[in-house]
Amino acid sequence: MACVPVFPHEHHVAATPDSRSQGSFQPSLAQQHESAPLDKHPTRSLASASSMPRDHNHDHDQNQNLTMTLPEDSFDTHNCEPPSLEVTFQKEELLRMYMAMVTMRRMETTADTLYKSQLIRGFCHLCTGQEAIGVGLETALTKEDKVITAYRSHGFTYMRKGSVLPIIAELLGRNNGISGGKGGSMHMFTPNFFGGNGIVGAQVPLGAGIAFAQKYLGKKAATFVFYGDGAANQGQVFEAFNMAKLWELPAVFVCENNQYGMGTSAARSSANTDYYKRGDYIPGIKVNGMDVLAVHQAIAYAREWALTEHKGPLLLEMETYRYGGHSMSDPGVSYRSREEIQKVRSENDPITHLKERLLEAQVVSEAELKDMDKAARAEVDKAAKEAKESEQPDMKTFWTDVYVKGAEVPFLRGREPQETHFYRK
Amino acid sequence: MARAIASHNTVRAFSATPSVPRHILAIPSVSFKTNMARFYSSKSFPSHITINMPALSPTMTMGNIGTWQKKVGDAVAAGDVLVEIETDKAQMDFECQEEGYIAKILVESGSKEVNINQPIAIMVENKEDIEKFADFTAADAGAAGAAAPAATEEKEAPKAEAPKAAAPKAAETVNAAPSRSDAERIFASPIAKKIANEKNINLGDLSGSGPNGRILKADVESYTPAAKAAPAPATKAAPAPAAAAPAGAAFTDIPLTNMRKIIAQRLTESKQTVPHYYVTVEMEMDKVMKLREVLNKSSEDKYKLSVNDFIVKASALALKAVPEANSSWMNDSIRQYHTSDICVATSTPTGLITPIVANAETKGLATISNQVKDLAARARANKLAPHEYQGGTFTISNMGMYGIKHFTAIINPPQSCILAVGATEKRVVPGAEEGEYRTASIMAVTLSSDHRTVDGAVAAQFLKAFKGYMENPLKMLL
Repeated sequence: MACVPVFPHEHHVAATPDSRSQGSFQPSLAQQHESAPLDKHPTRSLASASSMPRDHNHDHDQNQNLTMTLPEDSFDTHNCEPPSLEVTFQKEELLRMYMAMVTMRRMETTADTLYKSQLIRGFCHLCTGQEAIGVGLETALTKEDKVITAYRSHGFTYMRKGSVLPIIAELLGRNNGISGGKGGSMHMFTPNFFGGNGIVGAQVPLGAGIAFAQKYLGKKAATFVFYGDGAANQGQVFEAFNMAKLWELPAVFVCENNQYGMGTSAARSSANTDYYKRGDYIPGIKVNGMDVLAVHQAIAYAREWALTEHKGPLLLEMETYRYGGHSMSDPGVSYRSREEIQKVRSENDPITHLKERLLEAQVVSEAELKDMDKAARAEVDKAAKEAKESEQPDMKTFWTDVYVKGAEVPFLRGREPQETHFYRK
Repeated sequence: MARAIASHNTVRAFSATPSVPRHILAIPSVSFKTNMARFYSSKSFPSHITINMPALSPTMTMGNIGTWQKKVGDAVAAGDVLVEIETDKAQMDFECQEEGYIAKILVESGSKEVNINQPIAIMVENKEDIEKFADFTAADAGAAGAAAPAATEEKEAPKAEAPKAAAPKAAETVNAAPSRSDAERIFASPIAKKIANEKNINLGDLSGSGPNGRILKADVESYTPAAKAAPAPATKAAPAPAAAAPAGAAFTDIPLTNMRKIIAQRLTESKQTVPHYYVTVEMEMDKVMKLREVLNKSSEDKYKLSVNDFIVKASALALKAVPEANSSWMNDSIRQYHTSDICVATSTPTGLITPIVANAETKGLATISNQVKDLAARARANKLAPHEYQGGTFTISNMGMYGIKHFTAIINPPQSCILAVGATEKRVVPGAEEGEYRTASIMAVTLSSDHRTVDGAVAAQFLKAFKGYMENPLKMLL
């Protein structure tokens, strides 16, 4: 294995062959002190973050590209260099991002309403407020890269799948749902999106495994493994970190810190709330998760890191916020005040941030944005209507997808003895 | 739409709430009403959003509307609280996910028992449209929703009829196949189900001999299809009279109040679990009557004693003398109280309630009298505080004013005794000398006792002490 180049100022001890073969890899505290100058800014409190500064440098050029400077506090780092604050996007790209976020927001609020009218039952975890992460992720990835997350997965599924109808249909349990109506909210998949996982933190070792598979098969694909601040203290997460670093897997672990694990605030659950530093020997970057451009930049940087530059894992922490409760069973106001939620909604909303940028850079007019809002609403409403009129799955599908086709057991018992199904070979 | 109703009667297999009966789960899929009636314009109303009653918990079927936090004309942003809703579990705020203005409130603050998905308000995007909704009624909103309630009503009606027919049927047929509506669950033990499955016997044809009509292994094994023929004519005959009975009988179904439910539950529990026995004693009331007259004359309107007050005081003192009667069965111990908290059974328009005179053995007759009067008045006005009717160590139930001679009362758990007081009547009794007669006012009381804590002798001793105080009321001064 070639020597891993060490950049100036980069004090993280990459698993160079020498140190590894000597078996003496010691994460030194000295490193962390030396990286302190890079952590220029105190931990940003999301609820009190001020709205974006108005004096962006933006340049249009003939190719309809827009160059902007992200605010200085967009990134904090642990043992690595931050991504550049200068970002360039095509205007079309920005509008697509806006449309995606608005559609995602509408999809989630529609799911909220459908749940309250008892058309969706069971679990339903919504990502209202966290749209920037799903959108910023997808715009920086290729179709070959892999993504895995936990149960707050509708946004990711939408971005990976590209349409709303299969998701709403799945929530309603219809046969045109993305999992045939059999998975529900927490089990949605696409060929390069591994769900949709119900057990807290269980997806992190799975994600490390997916990254292992990519490396083993020689694919040029990074795996993005998402988990929350509540899951960040799970033991298997650290086991996954160890294996990812030991074998230099192309895995990017992303902690979506929405400040609350169910009803427990991060401060009450974690001795160290700097989740981007929890990787210890894995370098980390904290990103302002309410700014879709910062998210995009961080993901692009991470992908480059994992696949090309360092060919190893990286840890990202996305600072974000959810407006709703943990799930539809949680009103969301018993462990935080409504004022806090309203404050973030009014001062730090990801859609509003992008909107302000677009208007300021005169990429688009207010009326055009309003039209895009309307179009998104119409699309989601149409999907909801179509989903409600869809059929429920056929009872025959009750027995499929339990075993690989052709390798089933002779018979499978249903809910009662009379409901036994015999698989005919 | 009809197509959908017919096909969605099948069981939805992927419920996350398996405890809910399946036929209920089939209903939501029947509803075609769109929740957000966007761009719904008819009767010349501009496009608007209908806000329906939300299900804020998975088990909620109806709720009460609390206070509206927004009024017509108010701007609403996503995340704002529209109204407080009282659910089956708690009071919760209903947040709005939309932006716009409130155009009309269809269900006012304080409305009770609003069904899920019933329209409660209208929102519009443009402020100018608000005034156009001045005449908007729930009927306009409900046009789209009419299909759903009608569909659910259709399903409810046949279900309601089936259990009604089933009840008289079950009474008439003895060994016949049980009459069950399709919606009812068949109770059967796992082994019975297995054997029935193996023998290809339909569980619906069997009648169970276990609890709740549960089908047991023995029932399945002894079941012979020949028996089917016999019950068939019986069940056929049954529906005819069953149908006739409801048609001929005249009755009113009075819905149960909470109080009635609690009375039913507690007294049934008491009669079924407490080993009651009854001891009666008669006493001469002349001295009490005399004393009462005397005391009332000099009352200066500060009190007006009744015979019941003497009974309360005498019971309290008798409990001091016989403390075993002032106790509770606590399953692994017996709690003996040190004070006599006497409950006085009071009849109110809504039901029976027992306000408590605490520490009656320390109170004078006047205090007892005034307290009882006050408690009774407040009980009838439904204004008692919980500590004033929950608790107590002994109960007195007096039906003397109705002229009842003797009755037995049901013990109020966890107490051990209840004293049933009858009317006082003048009787001729033998006098001191042979051949002499005198008249006396005689009252009978019956003590119901819990034999777990109060043995027969103890009850007798209590009544002896009680009689002693009543026949010689001045002894209460000691």
